[in-house]
Amino acid sequence: MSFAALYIPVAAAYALALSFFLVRKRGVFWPLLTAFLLQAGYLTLRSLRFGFFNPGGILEESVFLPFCLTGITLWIWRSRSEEDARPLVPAAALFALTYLFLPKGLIPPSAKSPSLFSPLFFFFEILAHALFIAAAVLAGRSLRREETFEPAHRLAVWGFLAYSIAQVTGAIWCYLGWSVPFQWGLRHLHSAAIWCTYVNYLHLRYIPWWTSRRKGWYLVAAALLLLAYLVVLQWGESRQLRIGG
Amino acid sequence: MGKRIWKTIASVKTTVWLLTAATLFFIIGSIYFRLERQVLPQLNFRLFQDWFTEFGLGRLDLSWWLYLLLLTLFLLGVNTAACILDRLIQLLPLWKKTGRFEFAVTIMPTLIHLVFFLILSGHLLSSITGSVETVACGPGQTIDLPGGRRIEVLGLDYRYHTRPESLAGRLYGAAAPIRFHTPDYDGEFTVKILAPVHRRGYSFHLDSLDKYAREKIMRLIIRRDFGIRLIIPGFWLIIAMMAWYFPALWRLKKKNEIKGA
Repeated sequence: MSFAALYIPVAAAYALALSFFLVRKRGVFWPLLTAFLLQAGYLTLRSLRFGFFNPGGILEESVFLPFCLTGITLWIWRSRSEEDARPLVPAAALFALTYLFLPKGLIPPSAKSPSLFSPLFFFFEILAHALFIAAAVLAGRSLRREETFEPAHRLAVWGFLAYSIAQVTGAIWCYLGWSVPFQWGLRHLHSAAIWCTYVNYLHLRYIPWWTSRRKGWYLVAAALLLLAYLVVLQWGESRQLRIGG
Repeated sequence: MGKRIWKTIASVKTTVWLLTAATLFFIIGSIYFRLERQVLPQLNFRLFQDWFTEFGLGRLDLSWWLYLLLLTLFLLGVNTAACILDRLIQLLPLWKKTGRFEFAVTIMPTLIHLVFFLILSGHLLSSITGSVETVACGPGQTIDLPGGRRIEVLGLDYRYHTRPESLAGRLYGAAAPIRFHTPDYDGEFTVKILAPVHRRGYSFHLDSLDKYAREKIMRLIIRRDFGIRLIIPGFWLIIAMMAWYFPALWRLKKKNEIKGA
């Protein structure tokens, strides 16, 4: 059995959660939790595939982003409200199912990988992306149903905090490996654009014209910019050297 | 008139416009960096003014967005400084009138902006002061640098993955023992990938040209960076402040809601 085939049960559990969400409208929590646990197992196996623990096996955007989204959904479901968590289910499932069509081999660690700041950077960056997407989904819901904007705002703020930690750890890693905390290049400029977008969002609350509804639209637009960035990033990663899969 | 100008400079609306412009120029820049790989990436290995005279001035078609971005960031720095001053003048008299916790929550965004301003200044210092030198790093090589400085590469030690089979032979790390000589210093030390060494105001970084070092070509980057001491501590400080601020703000809001009820 190929290693890629191990993802099939994970995808099946996500498909089940999505179909429960679309058809039965209830009983979504358990298949989603199952998908989360299966994906945790898949990621663990992936990280140990070289015979030693390789955080790069876990912290790849295409597979860790849906895992984070699911984790956020389950956390909101249990600790806050089912109403806030439900709209996130299709987003998590769609990202997880997209991974079925993406390369599953491992990007081998380079000489600049063995730094603590590298996994810290990727962990916080991908977590922040998941929080931004979750914030946009909840903002979209508040636009449609005139519901409170507060849950979306909170996720955006936590996303911004995680993204800022990613920028700091990334800058230190970059300094150690490349001699500068900021490199003039595609990836760093994209990151700076995303960071500025959300810094801007935090300032909007001081301007009365920016009502909750307008801020909701802003979060949706910001997530679209992020998604465009993720597509470009994925395009680059799909051409990277990979082992197995 | 003066008051009105000051209000515009220190206004949040100005911040929002400048941040929108910066976002736009960062996006445009990222597109240019995707399409062009000769002129623009040289920015990483030269001070800004050196890059500008050598490359930028002759290729305005590639670099126009960069000048607009730098101008926007400069204006953002001015706007941030004005906001800090404006807020401090308003907030400091409240020091004894409000509770300690409430005052800390109220003043924290201003302090965060202050650190952000220091980080921006650090980036400016890094870009236009100090020096950047890139030299090929081969064993036995001697490189003479301006100011009577000399570097001798005493050796080059590559370390490779040995297992599993799929990884075997790929570079895991590299180290270069070097001797650095200046008119008033002479010493030996080892520079490794991911472990720069700092001596006499210079930092020495070992870098592989190729990601997996299949070509086995190493280079040594020697920097004199005056901004880094503002940037890295500033980053940590800003994270610590934000990690404290947002939960504290929500706690304060909750407390006020309970009081209001």
